[in-house]
Amino acid sequence: MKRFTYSLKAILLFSFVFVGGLPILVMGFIAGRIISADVAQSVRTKNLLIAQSLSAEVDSFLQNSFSFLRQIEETVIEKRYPKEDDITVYLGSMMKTIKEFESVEILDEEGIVRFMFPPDPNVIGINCSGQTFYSQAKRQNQPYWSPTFISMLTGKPTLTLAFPVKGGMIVGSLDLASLNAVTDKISAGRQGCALIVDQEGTVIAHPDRQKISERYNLKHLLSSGRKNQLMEGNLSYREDGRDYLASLSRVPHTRWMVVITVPADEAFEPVARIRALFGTGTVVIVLMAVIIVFLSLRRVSAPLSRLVHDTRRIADGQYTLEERPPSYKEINDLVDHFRRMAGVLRSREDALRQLSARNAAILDSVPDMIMEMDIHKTYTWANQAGLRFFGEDVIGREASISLQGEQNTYDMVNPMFNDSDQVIRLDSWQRRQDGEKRLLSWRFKVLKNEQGHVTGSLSTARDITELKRAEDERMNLERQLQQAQKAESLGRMAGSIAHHFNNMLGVVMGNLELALYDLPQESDVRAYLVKSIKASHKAAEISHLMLAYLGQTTGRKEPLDLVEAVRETLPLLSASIPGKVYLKTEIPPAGPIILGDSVHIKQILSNLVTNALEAIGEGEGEIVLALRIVGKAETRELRLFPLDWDLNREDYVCLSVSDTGCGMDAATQEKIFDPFFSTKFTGRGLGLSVVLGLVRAQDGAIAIDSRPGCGAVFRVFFPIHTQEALPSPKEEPIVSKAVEAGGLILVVDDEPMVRNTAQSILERLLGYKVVTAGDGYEAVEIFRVRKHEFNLVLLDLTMPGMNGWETLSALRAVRTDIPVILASGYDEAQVMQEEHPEWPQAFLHKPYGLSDLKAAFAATEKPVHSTGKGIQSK
Amino acid sequence: MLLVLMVFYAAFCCVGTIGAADMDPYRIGFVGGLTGRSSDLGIQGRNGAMLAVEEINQQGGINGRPLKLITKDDKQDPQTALKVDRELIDEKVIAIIGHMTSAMSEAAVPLMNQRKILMISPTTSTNKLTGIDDYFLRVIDPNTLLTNIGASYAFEKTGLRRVAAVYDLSNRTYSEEFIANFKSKFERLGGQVVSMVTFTAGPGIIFKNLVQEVLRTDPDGIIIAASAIDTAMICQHVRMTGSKIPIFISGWAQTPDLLHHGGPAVEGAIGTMYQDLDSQARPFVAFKDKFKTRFGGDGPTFAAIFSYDAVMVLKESLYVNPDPQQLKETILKQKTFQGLQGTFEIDSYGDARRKVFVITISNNRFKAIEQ
Repeated sequence: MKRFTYSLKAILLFSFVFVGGLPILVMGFIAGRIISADVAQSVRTKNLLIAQSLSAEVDSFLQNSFSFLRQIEETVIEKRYPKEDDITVYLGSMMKTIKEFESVEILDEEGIVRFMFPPDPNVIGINCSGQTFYSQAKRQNQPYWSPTFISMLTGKPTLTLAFPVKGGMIVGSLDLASLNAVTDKISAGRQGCALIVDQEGTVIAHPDRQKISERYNLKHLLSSGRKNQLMEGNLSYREDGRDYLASLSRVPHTRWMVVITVPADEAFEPVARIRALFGTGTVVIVLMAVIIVFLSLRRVSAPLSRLVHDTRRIADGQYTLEERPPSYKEINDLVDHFRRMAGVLRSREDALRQLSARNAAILDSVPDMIMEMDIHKTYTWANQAGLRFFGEDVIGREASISLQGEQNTYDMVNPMFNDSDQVIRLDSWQRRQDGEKRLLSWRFKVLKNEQGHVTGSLSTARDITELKRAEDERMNLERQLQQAQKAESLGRMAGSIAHHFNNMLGVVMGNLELALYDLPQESDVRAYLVKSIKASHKAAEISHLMLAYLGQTTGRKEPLDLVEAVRETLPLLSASIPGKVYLKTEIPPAGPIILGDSVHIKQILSNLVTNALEAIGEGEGEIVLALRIVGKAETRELRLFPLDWDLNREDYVCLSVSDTGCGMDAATQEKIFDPFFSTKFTGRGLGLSVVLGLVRAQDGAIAIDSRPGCGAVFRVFFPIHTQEALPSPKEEPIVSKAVEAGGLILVVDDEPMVRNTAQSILERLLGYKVVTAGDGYEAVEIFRVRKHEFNLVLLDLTMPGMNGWETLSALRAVRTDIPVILASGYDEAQVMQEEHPEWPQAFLHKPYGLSDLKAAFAATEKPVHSTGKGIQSK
Repeated sequence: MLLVLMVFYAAFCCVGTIGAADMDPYRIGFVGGLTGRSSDLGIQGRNGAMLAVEEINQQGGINGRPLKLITKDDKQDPQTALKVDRELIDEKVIAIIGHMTSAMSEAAVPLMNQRKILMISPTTSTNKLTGIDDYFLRVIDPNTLLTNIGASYAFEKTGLRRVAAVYDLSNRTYSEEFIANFKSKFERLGGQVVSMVTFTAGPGIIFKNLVQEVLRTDPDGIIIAASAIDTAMICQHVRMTGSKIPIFISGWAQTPDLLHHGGPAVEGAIGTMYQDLDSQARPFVAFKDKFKTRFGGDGPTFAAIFSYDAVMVLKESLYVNPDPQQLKETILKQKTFQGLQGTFEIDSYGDARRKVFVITISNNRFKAIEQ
């Protein structure tokens, strides 16, 4: 195919500049307007010329009329006809020569009609001084043409020419028909006409005679200018829905207007014809031009159309273009460029797609949720994490739907939508699609358009529920650790104090009992010594309670029927309750079994009831003592002491003591278990702290529920060992076989006073021989030398250098069957809780008195087990 | 674009001036004697109505609709009057302003009633149409009031006792009734109408003989019921005899033609009328100026004034209710209208109530001497 060498631009330029229709239209329009205006002007000019010609003719007519009256004046007035009759005859002869006047009258100075022709008896003699023509002519002293008026003679509209003369006035009544004769000669087209109006605009000559006789006034149509007066020239007017062109020319002496009036459509018919000619011609030319341009453009536009098709394919993302036949140079270039552009686009799109896929993969692999929402806070996009959390249907949903409860989340997010550029961070509880409440940590940032207007926001959210829980747990553990460290430190200190205290008390009690032994029965001093011994026991008890609070009293842990333990305590409790207080019990017939010490249980119950009684005070009240089994869940919401209580069982037995007393506030509840804390002036402030220690010793926990004025409920939870009832214990007779009197006993204690007191009691009160040692090393040396002499070893646990356990092992290494009593100020259970290679036969709690020693000696009769747990002595 | 331009261009070239399509106008007829000896009444009436219509149209018409005035000449002939009335009805007029003389109105009313076309007469004063619920309305009183006041003035103020009456039979309905009413009142007052001379206006009258007949009974005053020209001619011939007795004229004659043709002979003549041409009422002064500017000459007469008022009655009623079918009811319901010289009322029979002035001619002008 032929390849065009001309450029498309050149072809289009040619088509539109040389063939395009706009210049023709403009030129045609302008030429049409100019020629139309010219023709219209010539029509107006022609009509005006006719009007001027006619007005000259009318003026000539009037001059003739005037000459006629002047002739009468010359003949009748100046030559003075002698006889009046002759005057009438003369007038009659004159009237025969002129047709313009209907009648002629001669008035005297008064305005009275003296002569007239044709003669009329009704007129001759009447006074015409009231007539306008008379007064005007007389005033101006020159000929005057009157406006039309109704003739007295004929009753028709009449015009008069009043000609003032010496001694009177000659008046001629004009026959308007004669004026019509003048205007009727003029031809003004098919529908046009010539007419004459007087100075007032009243018609005095018109082809329609009715208009004359009706004194039709045309001033409203023919007047022009600012003063709305009849003026010479051309004008247009509209009458009965039709436009007219009027040309006015003034008649010089009378100020009448000769008017040539022609309907505008007729007057401007040539103009319309020219316009039509120009219009049609121009349209034809333009149409031809359009056809030519159209045909040219078809050739031009075919390759363009193909190009458009190709570009549309590119726009639709189809970058493979069909092969096209060669076209114009520009088109060919364009096609080449578009092909290259398509190639570039394809490679860029591929790269973009890969990038997009990678970004999508990145976004989907991010564990955090990434959410996008619009200005209405409706989610518009979410990554996989977001869809997993909120559900696939989250897109299009309003963000607030997922909010869990009132958290002021929107109040914090809203400022961002008020054009804030800050990244907003907030934690918010949200519902996951499975309905679970999760804590999300959000980061919000607004999105803006090019104008800087906020269009939405992008946010990331991380599920920090587990983190939050772990944090809470960590803080809880930390608190518990602090508490434990505090308790341990306190325990160590108290233990140390108790150890020394008990040693000293042991010395005191031993010496007191030795003194009592030496005193005669009748001695008065005995009573003081007995009181001192009692006081020493009381002091030992307090020391013991202190250890109990610190949890250093574990007591015995044996299966225990809690119901039975409580029931055993009830008589004692009832006895201590005053009459105004009612003790109510809700205890099942047989209870669950726990591992514990019945003594401790009784102590706990006793202390709680005592506390309840003190809360009730002097007035009436009720104490309810209840026992029931509760689930793990029931304990979860309670504030339990000790704080580090391990909740590892499904069921617990709950021993509750509730009262109707004064109750307590939250601050009091926090401190109620602290040692020496008391709301009362009386008491030691150890009751409830001991309870806590004892509860702890039973692996239990305690909770308080109280409000000021509403009483209090103390709930003690014990882990259930078994639900089954205990078999009845077998009564085994305790065989007490004391070490034979006179036997040799090795007393080992680092405290000289304790050592000496023990030696004194054993020797003096019990009749034993005693060898003492100040520490473990010495004891082992002595024992090694006289190992077969010793019947028993009384060994102190806490000693510098080699302690009690090490000494025991060393002694048993020398002689395996040597009975040993281990003495300590610490609680037996605590002492015995660890594993040791050797176990003593009995444990003796410091301070000990004579009876304690006897009991310990008795206990040595029992066999020794490797576990050591069988040692039960005090 | 090019084609659009071409279409506009062709339209411009081929089509001439296209007039704006006006809204369909209200067509109003005017009918009166526009030609002949007494045509001054009709022409003045027509001009008054034309001025009113032009004024209303300049102000945008009535509710946006213009008025179109179609004028007809009844030639003071009852047959012609009926003919032109039918023509007007055929041209779909909504009302007719006219006729201007009582005789023509009397002839036309049956046709109006039959065709249910409202006729509002500016100047008809005959009592024969008084107190009848018909399609004839007017904006002036029946002439009884004028004649009663005129008779009283003649008897009491002028001191006349023997009056000769002369009247034109061409408008017999008016003139005969006018003279009869005058006579009735005058004689009740104690005066006497000593002679009643009639004539029919037209070329054949010899006014000299007519006047001799009037003066034959030696009256001390004359009452004339005729058109302006005929009244002027009678006055001229009375004064030509040397008689200076007072002359009373009818309202019919009170036009500039009386002054022009009567000249000194009509000086001092007395009449009664519903208008004062010297009134300084602002609407009236404005109307007079406009009238003179529009038509030139001597300005408006009572005929022009009452025609103008009659068109304004139509206008006010159409404003209130644009339905031409209910024109009569609307006018009668509205009752009170603003005239050029103050308000006037139209009663339920379509007869108006206006003030009456006693007029005399002084220095070739009409002048009110009593109200």
